[in-house]
Amino acid sequence: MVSAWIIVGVVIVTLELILWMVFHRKVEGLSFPRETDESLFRFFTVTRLRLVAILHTLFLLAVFILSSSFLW
Amino acid sequence: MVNDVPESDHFDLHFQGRDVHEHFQFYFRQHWIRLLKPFVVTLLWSIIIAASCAFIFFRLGVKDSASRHGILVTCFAIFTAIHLSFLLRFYTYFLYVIVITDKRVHRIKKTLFSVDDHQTIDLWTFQDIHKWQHGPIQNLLGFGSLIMEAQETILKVHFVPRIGRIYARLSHLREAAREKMTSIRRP
Repeated sequence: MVSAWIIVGVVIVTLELILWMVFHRKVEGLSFPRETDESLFRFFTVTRLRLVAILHTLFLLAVFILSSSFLW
Repeated sequence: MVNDVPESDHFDLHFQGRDVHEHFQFYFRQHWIRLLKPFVVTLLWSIIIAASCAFIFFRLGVKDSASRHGILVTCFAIFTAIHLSFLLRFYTYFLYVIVITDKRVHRIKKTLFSVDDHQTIDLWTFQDIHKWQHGPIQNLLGFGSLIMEAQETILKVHFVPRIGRIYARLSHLREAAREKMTSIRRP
């Protein structure tokens, strides 16, 4: 079971990392001051989006580890 | 997209396609309602997968361990694919930005892997700016479409948030750009 956790963990982290790196590269030229933002949804900064990506990765890992702990 | 550092004095920003003589005014992304549909679809699929797993494992019962592992990994692979596609959609939302300077409107539209568009239109060339807000949802949440018509080009921006305020600011900037252009042309 531990080997399955490792394989799935590596796959998930790799996919999330690829998506984040591509996103970060593309969003670099689109950073503007907060006070000039006329959007309704001003919560997300680059740091907060990085945190979202980390939380999303942890969520997927937790779902797999918990479900496999019960059902493996 | 917003940087984390306070940047009150950074109004001459560099972004793709910016002319050195134009001054940044404001920017916006589409209304958050754009993310509602993919979020609801992801949530529904997650519930369906969880319910299917619960039905297969607890109702039907799978005795063979190889089959159990196979079903679990398959369900998780589908679950992961759905969540990653939502993440992709979420990131794409932040890559569609409308930037307004004192001279031009820039529509920058990118996706993670396939699209990298940049449409620019001069403010002083606008013949008309149309504001469209149809239906109770658009009026309650304050979003709609802006259609900017120049001589040979039309720039359409849908799901514009705070549309009344943005429309007013755009109209004001257009007048300022026209006055500036007239004063330059006057001998």
